[in-house]
Order: sequence, then structure tokens, then C-alpha cells
Amino acid sequence: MTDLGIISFEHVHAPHYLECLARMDAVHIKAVAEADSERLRAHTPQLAGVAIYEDYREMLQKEALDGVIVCAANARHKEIVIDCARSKKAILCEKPIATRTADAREMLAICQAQESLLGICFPVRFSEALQRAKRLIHEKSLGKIVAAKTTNHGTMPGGWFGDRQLAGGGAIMDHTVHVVDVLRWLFEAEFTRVFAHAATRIYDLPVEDCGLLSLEMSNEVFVTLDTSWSRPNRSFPIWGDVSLSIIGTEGILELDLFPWTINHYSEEAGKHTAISNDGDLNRVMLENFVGAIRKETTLSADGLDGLRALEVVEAAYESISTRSVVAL
Amino acid sequence: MGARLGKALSQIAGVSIGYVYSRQLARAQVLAQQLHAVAVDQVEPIFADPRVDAVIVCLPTYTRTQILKAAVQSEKHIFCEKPLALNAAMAREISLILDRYSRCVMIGQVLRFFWEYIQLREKVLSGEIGTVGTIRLSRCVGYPGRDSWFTDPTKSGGIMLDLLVHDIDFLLWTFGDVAQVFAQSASGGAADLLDYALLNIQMQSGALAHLEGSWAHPVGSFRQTVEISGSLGLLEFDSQLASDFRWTPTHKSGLSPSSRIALPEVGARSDPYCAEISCFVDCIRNHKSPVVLWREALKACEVAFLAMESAKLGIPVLYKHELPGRKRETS
Repeated sequence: MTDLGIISFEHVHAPHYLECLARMDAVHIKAVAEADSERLRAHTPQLAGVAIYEDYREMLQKEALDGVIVCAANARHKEIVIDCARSKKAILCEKPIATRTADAREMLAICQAQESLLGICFPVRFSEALQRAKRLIHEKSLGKIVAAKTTNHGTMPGGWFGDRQLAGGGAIMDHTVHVVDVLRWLFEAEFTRVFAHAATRIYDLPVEDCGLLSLEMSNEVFVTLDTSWSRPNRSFPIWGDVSLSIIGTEGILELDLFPWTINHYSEEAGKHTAISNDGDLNRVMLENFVGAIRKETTLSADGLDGLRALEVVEAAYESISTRSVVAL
Repeated sequence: MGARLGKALSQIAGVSIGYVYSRQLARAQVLAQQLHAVAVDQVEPIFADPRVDAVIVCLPTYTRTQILKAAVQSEKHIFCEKPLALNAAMAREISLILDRYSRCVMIGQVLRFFWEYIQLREKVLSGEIGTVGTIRLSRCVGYPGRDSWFTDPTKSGGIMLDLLVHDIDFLLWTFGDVAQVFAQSASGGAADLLDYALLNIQMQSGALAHLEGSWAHPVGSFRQTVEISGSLGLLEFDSQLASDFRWTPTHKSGLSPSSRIALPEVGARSDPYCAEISCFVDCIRNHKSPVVLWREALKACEVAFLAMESAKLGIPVLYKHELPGRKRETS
């Protein structure tokens, strides 16, 4: 039996992780730490039998856990992950790993010293379409890869996501890392140059809601990434997208990882909802984490992957303030 | 393009085509026959003939300056294909040639006559989507052909000018001036048979624009897409999804090199090429200002030049409108 705890329900995915874990074999959610009971109220049935703590440190002290999933707001990741590492727990941390690369490096160093597993929530890597894409690329079916046009659009998540202190930034902080991680994994290459434009246009926020990144990779592929919270909150059929258009000399690969598979036009709701088969990715990611704890498999995305992705984010913000290209 | 516009023109009442010019007489003859015109391989007869009111200039970009000069000297109305200028030097020359020219001059920025693009622009200008946040424009076609003049950037300007000038013009026409451009492109040269560019533009208004231009897509294919997001909603158009007519031959046929670029299929009634040339004729007859002013067309070229500079140097480039012609220049 693998005993797990969840720290904080601040991140939007925490309830879904709870749901996935509840259905997994030989996995037991022993405890949840969340200071704000309001965040847990809607999930009371799923939390039956789970020990609830207001202070995660108390939970770490009192509960014998094999691993912890950290779903706190971005700026809180550092402190929590370091405390978890010091209590020798395996850690799965929400993205982005932290809000500053200096913090991320500290987290990595301490996790290494404590021999604590540190995984980052990059579920998109587990997409089957992406596995096929990687095979196609490595078989040279696309020829030489020239460029990738990518998007990770979203709706504005609300709450602390618009708070610079807690989130570390806006749409760019929120939606750069998934695609950056995917491209690093797909091409087995690193990012070398970053340029970005940002704007606050759609909402009244102290952070950017529009972000457009122009990037270069070590394999000479150039990339654009649209991170904008440009999907209307009420009227748009789906939360957003992750799409990659990969241009090669011999072919073009178009990946739409959350396609509008089922279109539901509801009279009652008065709107069109598009449904995509995306729940599976979180489950597979959690299974990978649990598998790594049990030493049955290796972690797919680890702390270093988290750091590399955050480096691109930090460079993007530097590019915006200096109006220049930033070399990594 | 000459054939397409010629045919569209010949359908307008009261318009007749007098001459068809091509450097290769045989080519001129094919079209001249269809349009009941005289085929010539010299331009002088056209400019010398007082019965000719207007000239339609569809020559490759790099050959046009002298023709435009001759047209102005012989006081013909001018319809000129896009892009108007190949580079900054040519833009300055053309600006001086056309400055203060009182005859009708219209440039073939045909996207302004596509129903979809007109609709999208109207929705934006009406305020229905609120404050514009992001603009995504895409134009993807196949490589024009092994030996085509399009693929020689010294003759066509390459993909950022020849292909993306359509979307750049739409961007300026709808959303105002650009502030800063960062572009990336790959032309593999003849060996790779592709060209592809991605532009990251900050508008003066603060909105962000992403432009994709491709000559890397399947030969014979055509796709144009638009996405505009704002504080009150989002607009999308995808020519691939919106098609009311989809015909796919299933026999296998070889693809031969050609110097043509795939154009969207349109019915006669909704043909934007018919609409633009009708607009030109209407402007001549009724002394109106054309929908596409040559200064606007040059501005679109300027932005393309900035993109090319950015891609070459790997740096962002600020926009400064710098064309001469507004004041007298001593030569």
C-alpha cells in the first residue's frame, strides 16, 4: 500500500488528483493539508476517512506517508517542497516548479541531498498522440524539423493566478511550461534563445493575460508559443488547448492534444460544450509517480525538467523588460 | 493572376481588354485569345494607345518599377498586384513615382474583398469582441515550384513579403499600426523546397499578433485562418473547416513543378478577385478613392521588410514609418 498526502487545494487540479488516486490500486490517500476549509467543502464525500490538517507541517510530522502531492499556489512550492524533502517524502509538485529559478535550484539541491524523489506535474507528456509524434520524428518521417507553431491557450483561472505575489506572473507563468516541457521531451533538445511580447488586454489584472513567445532550440528549430488566457470564460466551449504544428522538410504534423471530440449543445445550459478525453493524462501521471515511489519505474518529469521549463519563463520576462532576445 | 483578373474584367459591362503583354509572346497569345485582345511582347504600344484607360500590372514584383513609371507618364489608371515593392529602395522609388499622381491607383490586396475577412473586420470595429488581446493570422500553401521566380527572394521578397503581405495588410487595415516585429524564418533554399515564417508582433495598441506563412505545406493545398481574441469574446475562421465544397480526386497523379501558387476556390458571385477589379473600374468611372490606397500597400510592404530584417539579424525591430514622397525632394 502506498500512502499519500495532498498539500493544498489551491491548484485547480487537486480535486481531480484526489479522484484519480481514489481509484488506483494499492494507493491510499491518508491525509490532506488545507488551511482554507472552503476549498474542501465541495469534496467532502471524497474526503471521507481522510485526515484533514490545517498545517501541512503537522501532517508531515504525524502521518507516515510515502509521498506527497503539492498543489499549492506557485510561490508556496519552494517552502513546502523543501519541508517535504527534509521529512524524506517523495514529492510530486504542481507546475511551475517555483516562481524563480533560484528557488527551483535550491529545491533541487535539497531534494538531491535528502534523496527525495521530486516529480513535476507535466501530464501532457503522457499523451499517446505525443508518443506517436516522437516515434515519427525519430524515424525521420518528417525529414528535418524546421519549426513548431504551438499554443497553450486557456481561460483565466481566477483567484491567485492573477496575483503576482502568489503566482509569480500571469499567462506566461501559467502556460509556458507545459509546451516547453513537451518540446524538450519530443526533440530531446534544449531551449537556447527566448523573445517575448506580453500584454494585459482582456482582463483588468496586475499581470499579463496575453503572451507570445518566440523561441529557438539547440536543434535549430524555431518555435512560437501562444500562452494567452484568450479563451472567453463563459461562452467558449472548452477551457483551452495544447496544440503543436510541427513543420518538417518531408511532412507536417499537427497535434491537437485536447480536440473537440464530443460537441454537446445544451438547451438547459444555453451553451455549447466541447468534451475532450483529457482525464486520462492526470491518472497516467499519478501512476508514474506511484510507480517511481515503488521503484517499479522512473519518474518521467523530474525537478530538473521543472527547472529547465522555468528558465524559459524567466527569460521571457527578462526579454519583455529589456525588449531584447535572451540567451539561455 | 493576370488570367484571373483579365477574365473577371471581361465580365464587366462596358469594359474591354485591348492588350495582353508578356515577355513571352506565346503566353500573351493564349490569354489574349480568350479575352479578344491583342497579344504583345512590348509594353510601348499599350502606353502609346490613347484608347487604353487603365493598365493591370501583374508582372513579377522585381520588374515593375519601370512599368509603373511608364503608366504614370502616359496617364493611365493603374491596378497593380501585390506586393507593391520588393524592398525599401523600390518602395521609395515607387512612392516618388506615385506621389501626387491624380489618376486612380489601386493595389491588389484582395483579402480586403474576401467576405470572411470583411465580416471579421466589421465585428472587431463594431466593438463586439471588446478590447482586442491577440490576433492570429495564418496562410499555408505548398511550395510554388522548383524554378519559380517566387522562390527567389531577390525577385519576390520570399514568403514574408509575397505571401504574408496579405495578412500584414489585413492586420494594419483592421488593427492599426505595428510597434515592434520579431520574425523567424527558414528558407532551406532550392534543396529543401520550402519556406516558412513565424512573426511575433506587438501592435501600437498593445495587442499581440502572431502571423504564420508557409510554403511548406502540401503542393496544391491552400488554407487561411484567423483567430481574434478580446475582452468580450473570440472570433475564429478556418477556410479548411468552412468549406461548402470539398472534392477529392482519388486517382493517383504525379505532381509536376509549377510556378503557380494555389488560390482559394470561389464561386463567380462571391469571387473576391471579381469584387476587387470591379471596385477598380467603379473608382475610375465614378472618381472614387479605391478601397486599397497605394500608400497603405506600401506600409504593408514596410512591415514585411522589418520582418525580413528581424529574421535575418535575430533581433526585434521597431516600426518607424519612413517613406518619402510627402514633401518635394530634389533629385
